[in-house]
Amino acid sequence: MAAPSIQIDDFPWPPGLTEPPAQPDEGGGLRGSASRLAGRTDRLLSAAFLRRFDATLDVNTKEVLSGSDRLADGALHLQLRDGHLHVDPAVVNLPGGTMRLSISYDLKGSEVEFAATAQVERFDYGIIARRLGRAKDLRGLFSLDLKLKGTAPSLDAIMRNANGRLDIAVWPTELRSGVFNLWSVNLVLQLLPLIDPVRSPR
Amino acid sequence: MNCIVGRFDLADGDLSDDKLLIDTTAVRILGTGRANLATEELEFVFHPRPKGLALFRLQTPLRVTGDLGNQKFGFERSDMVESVLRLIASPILLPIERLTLGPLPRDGADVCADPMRAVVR
Repeated sequence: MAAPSIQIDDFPWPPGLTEPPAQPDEGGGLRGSASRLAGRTDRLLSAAFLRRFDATLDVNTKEVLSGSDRLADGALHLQLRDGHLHVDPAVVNLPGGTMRLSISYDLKGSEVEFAATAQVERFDYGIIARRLGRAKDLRGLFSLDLKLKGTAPSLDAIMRNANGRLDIAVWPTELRSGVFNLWSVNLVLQLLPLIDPVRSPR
Repeated sequence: MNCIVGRFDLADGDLSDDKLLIDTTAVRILGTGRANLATEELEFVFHPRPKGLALFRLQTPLRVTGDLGNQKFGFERSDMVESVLRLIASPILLPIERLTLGPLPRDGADVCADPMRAVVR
């Protein structure tokens, strides 16, 4: 499938895949969201569903739009064979840089075998933050290299048995380092004003 | 702020640091520790090392404990005593440290220019 343009608004989530309403005792935060996402993916990628058919999907698009906003361009190669789902690569070119992802998902008996890699190189996160209207003065670059492999009874338990590595680097350009510099404070200079109140420490 | 780098190895759900640092023009903070993703317990220690002439500076390590959902930040009494002793002895210790570890560049070029590990495909 190749398209010069994909409009996100043309693909609403099917009702069965939308998030169930949050329970009052459900954990919040990032971990709670990750766990709910993993649970939702588990339901979608059941053995019965994955073994029903084999498929190959190639997607290439020159632009992905949300309304009138140009979000990205990219490519995706997905293969489903004998219940084994393989995505390699999923490449998204955003205004700030490129993200590359590969995923392998296999159900073996009662266990899930999962592997993922993700690479982001010197991504300008400020462009995305400004586009989302989150922070106008947020500027900097971000790199990520993730390699993850694991086997577990369900997808949300993968991290408890996973192996791999995670490298993250951030080069912020608008983040002040005062709080860190204060950590290694010079006591003599800080105490000087007590002796000589006229001159402040440098 | 020059850069923030976190390089971690994950073995059977146990996340340990390969390199963990925060580099500014005035100080470099090195971290060590681990987080267990099965039990969610974590334990990290961050040691600041000032750049340039750093006599009489208090450099108490910061300890992060608790679990992934509830981190606790604090200083240990033994670390504070040690940092005060280091502060007093800094005119002797600093030249030795500078000779053995070398000076730290203000721009953090030695750790910020290429902080990621080589990608093996």
